[in-house]
Amino acid sequence: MARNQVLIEGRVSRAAQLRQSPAGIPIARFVLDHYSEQTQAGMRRQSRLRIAVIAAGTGLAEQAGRLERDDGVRVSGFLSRADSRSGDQRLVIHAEHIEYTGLEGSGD
Amino acid sequence: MPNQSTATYVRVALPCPLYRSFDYRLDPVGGAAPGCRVRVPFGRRSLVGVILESSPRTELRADQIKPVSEVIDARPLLPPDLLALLHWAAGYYHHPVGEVFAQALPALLRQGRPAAIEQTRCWQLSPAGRAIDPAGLGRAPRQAALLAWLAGCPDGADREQLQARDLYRPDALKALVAKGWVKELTATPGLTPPQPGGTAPELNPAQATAVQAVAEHTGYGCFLLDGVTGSGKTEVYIRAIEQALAAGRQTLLLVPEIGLTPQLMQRLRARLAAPLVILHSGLSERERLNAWVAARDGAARIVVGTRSAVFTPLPEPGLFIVDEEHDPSLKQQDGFRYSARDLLIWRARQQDVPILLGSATPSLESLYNADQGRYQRLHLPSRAGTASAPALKLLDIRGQPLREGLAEPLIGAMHRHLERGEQVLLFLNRRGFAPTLICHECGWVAACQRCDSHLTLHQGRGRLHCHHCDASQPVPVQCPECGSPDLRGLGYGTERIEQTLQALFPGHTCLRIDRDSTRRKGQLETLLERAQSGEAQILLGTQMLAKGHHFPGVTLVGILEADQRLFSSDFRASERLAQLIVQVAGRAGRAERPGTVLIQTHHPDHPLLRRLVGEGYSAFAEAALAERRETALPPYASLALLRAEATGREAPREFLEQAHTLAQQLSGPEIEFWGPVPAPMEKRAGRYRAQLLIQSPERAALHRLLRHWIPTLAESPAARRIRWSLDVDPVDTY
Repeated sequence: MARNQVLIEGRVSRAAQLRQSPAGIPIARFVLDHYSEQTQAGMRRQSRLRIAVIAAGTGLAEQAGRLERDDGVRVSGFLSRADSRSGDQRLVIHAEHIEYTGLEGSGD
Repeated sequence: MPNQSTATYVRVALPCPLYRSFDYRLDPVGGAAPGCRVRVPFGRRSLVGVILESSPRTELRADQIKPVSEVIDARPLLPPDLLALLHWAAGYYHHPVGEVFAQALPALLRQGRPAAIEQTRCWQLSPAGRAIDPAGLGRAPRQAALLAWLAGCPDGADREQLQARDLYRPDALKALVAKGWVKELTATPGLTPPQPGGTAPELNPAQATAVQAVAEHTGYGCFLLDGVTGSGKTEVYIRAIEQALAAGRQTLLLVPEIGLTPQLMQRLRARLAAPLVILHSGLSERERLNAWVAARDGAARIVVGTRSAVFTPLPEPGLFIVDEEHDPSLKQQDGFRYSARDLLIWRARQQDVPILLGSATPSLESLYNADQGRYQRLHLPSRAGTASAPALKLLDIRGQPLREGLAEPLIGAMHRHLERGEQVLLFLNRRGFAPTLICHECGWVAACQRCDSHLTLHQGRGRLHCHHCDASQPVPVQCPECGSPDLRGLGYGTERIEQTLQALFPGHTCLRIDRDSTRRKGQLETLLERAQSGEAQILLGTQMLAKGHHFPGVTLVGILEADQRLFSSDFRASERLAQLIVQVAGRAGRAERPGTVLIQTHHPDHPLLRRLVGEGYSAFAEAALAERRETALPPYASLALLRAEATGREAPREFLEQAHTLAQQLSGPEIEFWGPVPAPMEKRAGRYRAQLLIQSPERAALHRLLRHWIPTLAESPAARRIRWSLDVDPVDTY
């Protein structure tokens, strides 16, 4: 099976909204801002992105639901397109693990 | 009786789908007149049928004819006028005569039981039993179930009613009687003594004129009582019934649905000091037969019933009434598809009795007949008492942000009315939480496997339901296409709006009244009482709320969606929409405070909505009639619809093609055919459906064709491979 694995750190720029699927599965969605410095072609450069994180299922969704704005998080999971209407361009991270990394100073 | 002494043969209507009657020999000769039931051998079975004619001759050879096994009735069960009505109905609707007769009789009579009133044992909660909480009877679940159910039956329940719900347990009943919680009585189901005590309000001049017009009339006459909502049509009925009672005559009153009109029944019982019986599908078979016999023997002076009550024999008819004459549920929609209104008009003419058709929104057919001078129109132009007509307003919701289906101006108006201590009624003709379940990620939609339709999400029960075939399944935990758990309800049903209202108006109680919230017996009555007492301030419901209820505290009505029917393929859709809007709007401002009606729409410039809101139902009806004339649709033409369905897609179409070819050979240019075409929802409950519409400006020409065509079709080999039906004067063309 083709691999699809993401590990990313950042801060919460929009706190999670917690809701339930019609079948009763809790689903949380929050937005993560990432900023880092990376190496490319032997040179230093910036990496900056904003991406939504979906955390579904008992436990994980509630954990995500407790996150507040500016909380630092480490999320691991996989990427998938956000919805069929916006085509294949917009992506979200579906979380498998979320780790609270403390209140960070603003990255930028 | 003519021929009775010499009758050797009888012609019998038997409950079978054949377009004919059957001859049998009477042994001994005589002793049975038309209208008597007989038991006869039919193939290997024994059937109960009704004698249509007796005759000294038959066309059958002596060795072909079988004898009657038993004459059930010593004197005719059905009087000649009813035999004539059923005969005519079988001819007009081109339906097998035996099935027509079977439909007209209560089930116990179809089974050959005697036409006599019988007492039965029944069980009723005692005052001590009312005080018991069934939940506390943990170790006696059957007793608890009985207590809980009997709590909803103030008149008690008999064995048949308990058995129908699998609650009949003699031991449990005995135990409850021993504890003094339940009383065992003998009762005559279906017959309750009159309980008058109501006072008569003063008639306004229009009501008085209407009552007088009916009173001064002798013999047949059809009156169209065209009275705006809240104008006191019921009071006119009551006065007219009183006159019939005083003249020693019986009244037959047809209503669309009795379960939806407990208030009408209460008023009739409170005001009319005469034996009244009710006939509808919610009765036990014993109740139904007792009521039927009481009507036939003249003991019941007033008969109120749903459409099949049109077949109740009455020895002394004096007045016929059809309430909400525009209502499509007066037309039977399966089997023998008859219009109870139209049959009652025919019966009125035949029995030389006046008939009163009442509605705030008369059907276009009836308005047309009034214009032609066939009916006398009686106007009730204003509301009874001090109430004034509600003001209708269109609320343009194009580009407006909606909060879960509610526009801001509507929410604002609700706040203002609620703060003044008034009630608000919201109307949405869609039950469930959301009409569609969609996968947010891949766009998959939950569809019914057996119908061309989406499944409705019922959040409270955690199930998906098909509102067309009643299939049901649990809500899936993930999308069957892409696996995402993120499934969402798309669109709004009453269940969802109820949640929204609870969030928006936490200080007010909201009642949801739809088929889901009123499944159990007595629930509708309870909810209506809570609505009328003012205990709940927000009433939310489907068309169950639209019919005939009186909510004096409601001053604001919101119609959440008017657009659904604006673009329907059915030519009657606009008429139905206008009737529904006017009926729902009529719930507002029925007491001293004026009412407001807000209609949310994406089509505020639609000519139909504009005319209805600006000029009222009469102006709408006039324009709609002009349109019908231009397009040569009823009442300017007669229609019949031939429907066919089968598990395969081709068979219905092939049958209709053959039927079409045959019909063209039998008819002239005055008949037009549309189709065959697939039905608007082609697949339903696993069957493919197609239809052929037959149309003619001349009713007689249409019926000439049907008379030859339909029996031939019934015999054709293609008819055996599919299910088919004929609908004369269809109320829905799909």
